[in-house]
Amino acid sequence: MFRTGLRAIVAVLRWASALVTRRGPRPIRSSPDVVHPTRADLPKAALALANVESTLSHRESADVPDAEHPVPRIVSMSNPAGVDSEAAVMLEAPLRACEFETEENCCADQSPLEPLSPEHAPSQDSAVGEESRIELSVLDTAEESLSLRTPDVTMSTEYEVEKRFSAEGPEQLGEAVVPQESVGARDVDALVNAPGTTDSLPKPYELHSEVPLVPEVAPVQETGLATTDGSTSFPALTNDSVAFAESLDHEPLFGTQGTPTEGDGPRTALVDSGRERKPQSSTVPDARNELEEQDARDLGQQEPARTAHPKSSSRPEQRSAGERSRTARMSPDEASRPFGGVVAGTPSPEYALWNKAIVLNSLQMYASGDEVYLTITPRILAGALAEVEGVFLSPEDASTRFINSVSAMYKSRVLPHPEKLQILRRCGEDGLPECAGFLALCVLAAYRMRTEEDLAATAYYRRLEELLGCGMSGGMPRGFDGDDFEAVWLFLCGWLRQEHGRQLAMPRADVGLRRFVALPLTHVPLRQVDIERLPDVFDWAGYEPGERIAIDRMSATLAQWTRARGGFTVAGLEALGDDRRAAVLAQIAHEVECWDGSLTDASGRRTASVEIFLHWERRLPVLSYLPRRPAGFPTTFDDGEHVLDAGQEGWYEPLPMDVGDGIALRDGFSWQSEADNIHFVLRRIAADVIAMAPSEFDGPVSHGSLVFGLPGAVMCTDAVAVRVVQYLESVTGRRCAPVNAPGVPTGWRLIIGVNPIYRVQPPEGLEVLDAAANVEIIPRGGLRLGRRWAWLNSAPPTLIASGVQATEPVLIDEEPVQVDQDGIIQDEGRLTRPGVHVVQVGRIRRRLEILVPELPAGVRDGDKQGARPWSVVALPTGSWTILGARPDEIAHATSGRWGHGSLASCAFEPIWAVSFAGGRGATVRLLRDPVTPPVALERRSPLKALRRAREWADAVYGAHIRRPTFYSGAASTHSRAPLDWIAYVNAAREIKRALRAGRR
Amino acid sequence: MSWDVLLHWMTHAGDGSWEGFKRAVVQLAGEDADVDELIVALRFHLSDLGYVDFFTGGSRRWQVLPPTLVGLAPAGTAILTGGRTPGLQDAFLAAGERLGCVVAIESIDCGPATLRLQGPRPGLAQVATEIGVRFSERYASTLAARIKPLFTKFEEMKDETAPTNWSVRSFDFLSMAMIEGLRRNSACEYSPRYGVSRWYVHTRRGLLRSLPKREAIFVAAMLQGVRLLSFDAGNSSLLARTNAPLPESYARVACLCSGRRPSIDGDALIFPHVPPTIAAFLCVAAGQPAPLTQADAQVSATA
Repeated sequence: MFRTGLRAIVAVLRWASALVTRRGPRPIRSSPDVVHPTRADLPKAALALANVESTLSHRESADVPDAEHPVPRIVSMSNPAGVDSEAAVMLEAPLRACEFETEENCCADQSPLEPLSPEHAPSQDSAVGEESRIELSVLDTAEESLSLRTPDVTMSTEYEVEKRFSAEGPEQLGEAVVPQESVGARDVDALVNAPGTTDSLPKPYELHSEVPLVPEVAPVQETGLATTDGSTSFPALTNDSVAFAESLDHEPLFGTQGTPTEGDGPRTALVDSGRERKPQSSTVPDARNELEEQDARDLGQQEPARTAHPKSSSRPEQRSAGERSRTARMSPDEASRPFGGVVAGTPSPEYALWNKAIVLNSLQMYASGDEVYLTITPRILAGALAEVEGVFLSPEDASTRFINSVSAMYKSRVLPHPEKLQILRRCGEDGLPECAGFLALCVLAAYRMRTEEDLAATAYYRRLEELLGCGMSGGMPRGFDGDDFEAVWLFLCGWLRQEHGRQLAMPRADVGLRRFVALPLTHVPLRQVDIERLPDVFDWAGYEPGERIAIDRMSATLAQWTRARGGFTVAGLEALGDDRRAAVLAQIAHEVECWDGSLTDASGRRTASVEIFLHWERRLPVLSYLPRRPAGFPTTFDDGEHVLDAGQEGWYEPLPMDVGDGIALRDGFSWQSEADNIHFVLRRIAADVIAMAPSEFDGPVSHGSLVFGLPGAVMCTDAVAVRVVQYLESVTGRRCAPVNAPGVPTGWRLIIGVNPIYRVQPPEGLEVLDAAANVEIIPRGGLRLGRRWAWLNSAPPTLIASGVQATEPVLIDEEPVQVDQDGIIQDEGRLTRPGVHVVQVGRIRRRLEILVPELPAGVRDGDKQGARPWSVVALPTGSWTILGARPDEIAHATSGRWGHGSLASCAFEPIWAVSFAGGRGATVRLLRDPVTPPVALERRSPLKALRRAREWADAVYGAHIRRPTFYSGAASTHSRAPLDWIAYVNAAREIKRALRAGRR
Repeated sequence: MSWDVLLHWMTHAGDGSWEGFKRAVVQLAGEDADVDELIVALRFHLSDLGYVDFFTGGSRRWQVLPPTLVGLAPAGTAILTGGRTPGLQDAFLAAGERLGCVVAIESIDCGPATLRLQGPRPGLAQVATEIGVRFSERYASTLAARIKPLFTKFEEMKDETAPTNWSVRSFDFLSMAMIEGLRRNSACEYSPRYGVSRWYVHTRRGLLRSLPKREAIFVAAMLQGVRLLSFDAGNSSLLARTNAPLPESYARVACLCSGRRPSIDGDALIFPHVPPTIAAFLCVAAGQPAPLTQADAQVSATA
């Protein structure tokens, strides 16, 4: 029975292979060697294949005796809309407590590292021996996965059924992407003999295997399948298959690789490219492979890529030109080595930019504990881009731009290359791993996993494909291979360890079969739904955008916020409570660093805060409102009373504070405006005490706390002034008296020069005056170029280190430097040297760029030399005609209702201006001294020039016959003007005469 | 303080906000400097000599202009305007000397140094070509040709109603100062309690037309028939009032005739070396009567 079932599969696959070779407009012809499967073969084969994975997965994962896994039994089959639409097969099968490599293995609210939750996975106890219905559907879409559905769980298999239509007949070709695992004899036997499997379907199906059972076959060689009775031949199967066959106490059924079998049908070589396996025909060469081979030849290589590839070299006999083998799992050491093959060209500048932004911002900048998390969210992307390019986009725009760049790279570089994802295991010209951008996109896909109308929350590969835009194949994005994917992660992990001595967070060892999806999910402990709540946390906690929050402080904040506001989703809380806590905190810390200070509520209203800014003018303190301007806020904010213009990136320009603003400052205020149907709110919450900390501006800005060891300022109401002064004196160790400044609002006090140097717990109500000991690097002064950390070499910044302990190293470019008592880092001229400098204070590292000024691209327009200069003429009020020396040089000037004259500009040298009307008299003004003699009309002038010459001659002649009055701009030429005019009159006569003659 | 660094920074940035400019000036100014005065002086220096455009398109931003070798009214003289970097400056000096031109660096207290070049026209053009910038021999005329006359602007502006709850002051031509309240046909400044004020011209129907400050004052002068500009034909000098200076684009044209900012004599701003044609154009475009030349005066007297 096993043989019968297997024969059915083989027949189907072989028939499909035959069809593939003739795909296209040509008619499908039967081959004498091809067994035409009947429609009834479809359920046989599909069900057999469907059962294989579950059985094998079960065996692999649990090593459960077969006795515990009864065979599925088909109970019904249906084809509600005929062959062309859908065919469904119902079978009964025991549910098994096993882990499938399916999207449902990992549910939205559950870590991939966790076992299936009881509501999503059948327990072993209840499953064994308990029969449930499984529905196997062949869906009517171009590429859909077969799905196994039970009342509890839907499991997408790795089988891809693709319907293809033949123009010549009613046949419909389904392509089943067969997993690599072999068929269990007993399962197939039982399936094939199960009642009802062969009779229900109304029309014949033709099944085609899109991939062979052989992962690695030479396309130029015919391969054959020899069954024990020798009746059927088929391309050779893998060693695994052979081994499996042996394990079933059968003789090896399949011929050895590369051994052609006589009487083979169409020469079909089936290439396994991981999960995407494409049929390759020796008679119809694959154009892409030809191109690749051509590329390799162009590059001077005999065998492109694969000879140098470590995996290729390990199994060279199983590879052939243009083929892509199913990759075996690489060892970490092997994977951490760069890809040795040939990769033509370099990634696009856009991808390189994003790649750099990801590496510098996400990989090198932030770590939690000993592990680095590649946390990627739209907000982080916007922050990363701003860091490297100085361009500030909204998170949505940044995300779109990032996705487009990675998608383009994937389609243009990864997909066409035979080694697919492997080519990302290398460093680019900038020394950064090329895979960072791609892996960041994979993390972003994981971040976007949430329950949607048409997608389960756990559908990772679908979301990845949505971002890559490359189409699905075999349940995964086209060109995607799990083992390759894992190898790329390992490469990045190795690079980070080698170059920076840091460990990339990787899934735990007990991740199970879903180990590939676990790779990006490890870096997404909080999903989108929780991340979107973070601005509320930050706002509630008084965090500053871009602030680096100590993990302890953030941990306490989250606990308080959870109590106060309800916190995250259940899944988020679980992640925060278990061993993923470090990852969660790292992710949140990164988010706050990239937060732009805005909140968006459910109605779409956007809110940002108004800070208080203290600076000095003529040695007097001046207080101003400093509203934030996150991306998307209008350039001009106008609520009728407050008109704010955009200032430095991320801010509106400061508004001077009025002495009458005391009550608004104490009770809080909000300014509201609307632009493009979006409601914008700038607000400041009620406060009795405002702490101001050193900032990148020229003075301190309101902050969630004072900064330990750095001078700041405090504003407080009269009601709490005594307590505030007492507390400040205790933490600063010196007298803190409010200053009498004219601009301080009524009812408020301003205390400047507050430098906390002692640790004292603030009294109740004055918590904002706590001195945070965050390690920070604050740039001050210099000529900064945008918002990124870049300064002009002739005006570098002064760097201030806050919260630094004596034992902590302060380094610039890995060289130790001193910090004075005011926290100023003594850079000793290092920051005047152009280039990128890395400043490290404790565990904090910041990249700082010193630039030599350059002209922006396209500013120089030296190539536009020779443009004709313009001349301007001002004349008395009236209608004037301006004349040049050439007959076609004529312009007009008129005056308007207002003004005291007429103006004209012309691209020629004006000589005369004439004014006359229909009656007597005319005015002629000489505009140039000396007068240029008139130029004769050229014999072969274009029509347009002739028309203008006629106009010119009419103006001269018309003025002349009216006995004009002459004026000149200079007294010396005034009397000579009529004489010079005669020459123009003569020229005009000549022109008129010539034009008349020409007309005749 | 060398303000060349400021120009280098602005050149590299390309554009920026007014607040950013002010911060940069504060960074570079000494502690004892009167920053407010310095900011204004620097702004007008950079604007008048064609380095930077301020408040472009009604915004509160600045934008650096392309580097250009500008021919001046005294023939055979040019200055390098627009954005520049140390590299461009070095190239300019080297090319000038190599091509036999006289190169001068004129240091100025409240602005970047003026790079002046003297030599024959082909030499000037060759220098421009070598350093990759445009050479415009009659730049003042070309700039003037781009000016939209104030009377045209005024006619095109739409009438607006006064902002509510904003305080208002008007420019009084008798005292040449601002006075509280709204005066008919005057330039008036409406100020919100917070934020930037707006300038308008009050029209006969009690409505307002929005214009920048200096232009509003000149339009008001046009409406009231007040003379703010005059031309000294003997010295080729255009004279304006210190408390009613020329609008920025007009001042730039006048300054780029000589390559120098106006000198102050009493309450007069004197723009030297302004050719009569350009002076007449600026006067008429600004809504002022065209200055009479000596010849016109003779003719008028004869008539």
